[in-house]
Amino acid sequence: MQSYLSTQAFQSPLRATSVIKPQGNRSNKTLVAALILTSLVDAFSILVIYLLMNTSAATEQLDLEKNLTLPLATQSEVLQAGVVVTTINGKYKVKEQEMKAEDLMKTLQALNLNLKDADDNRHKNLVIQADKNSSFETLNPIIMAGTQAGFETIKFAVLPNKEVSE
Amino acid sequence: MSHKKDINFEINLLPVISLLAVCISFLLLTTVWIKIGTLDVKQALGDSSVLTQKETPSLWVIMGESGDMIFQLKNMASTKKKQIRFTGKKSSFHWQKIQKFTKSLKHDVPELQVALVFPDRLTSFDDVVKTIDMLKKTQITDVGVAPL
Repeated sequence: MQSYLSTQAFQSPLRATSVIKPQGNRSNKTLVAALILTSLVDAFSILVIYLLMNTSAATEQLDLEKNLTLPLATQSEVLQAGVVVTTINGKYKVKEQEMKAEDLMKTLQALNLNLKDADDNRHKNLVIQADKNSSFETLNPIIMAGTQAGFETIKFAVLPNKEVSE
Repeated sequence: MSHKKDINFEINLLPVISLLAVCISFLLLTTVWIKIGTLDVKQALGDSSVLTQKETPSLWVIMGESGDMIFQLKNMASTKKKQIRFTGKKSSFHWQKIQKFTKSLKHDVPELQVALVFPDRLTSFDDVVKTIDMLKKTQITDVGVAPL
């Protein structure tokens, strides 16, 4: 069986035009070297495996605000579905909608009721996303509103930090 | 005519490479590089509070404005020292001492499962998370945060 590459290879143009001893069609030597693709396939396979391993099984994701740095925690758990409240520069955001601290309670209560009616698991969790330098004073209205609205668990969004062995 | 057929043959790898390239592109685009986790807390005080209903040994952690941290042991049968204060330095908490203390506390009181954190209004979110994280690290599973 003839090699796949040999059928694709071009003849040497220099040798073919030679006056003294033209070797246009007689020569079996080619200018094109066969590329060894096996190593490339290996490298690609390793990349695919690495990326597959890196893909998280958890489906829930949070959109991080630009100027927001989350605190680090070693005992963090996998993010579960919940209602996300973001606070940045003293402003509160629920579902991309900016609001005042006074309106948080009403909004969260309505959201919780809607989710309960729809039998959505998100009615149990309230995820608080805040900058690590923000004071507890700014988080307090969310905690108060969340617990009054009927959320069972309050979850602080954090960045998982690898535990340092002591 | 005896034409000897060569048993060696070349697999066409181009479709394999194309397929892998598509896979890599897809995975590169969809992989989440920044993984966000959560630190779960329960409501510490109030009508619907679960933590304060039981008469179990609990630890109250009061975070002061000037970096002071007070540990109070509640519902304890033993006559051990029930309040310990850690004075902060330059309005930041003395984390090394505090960590050492919580570790020894859990060792002394293994039944301690409940802790309530009382942050000050000016306590930073980072410090609150650090305290909860530290308590969870010492196997205190039910950690709550008290609102102001």
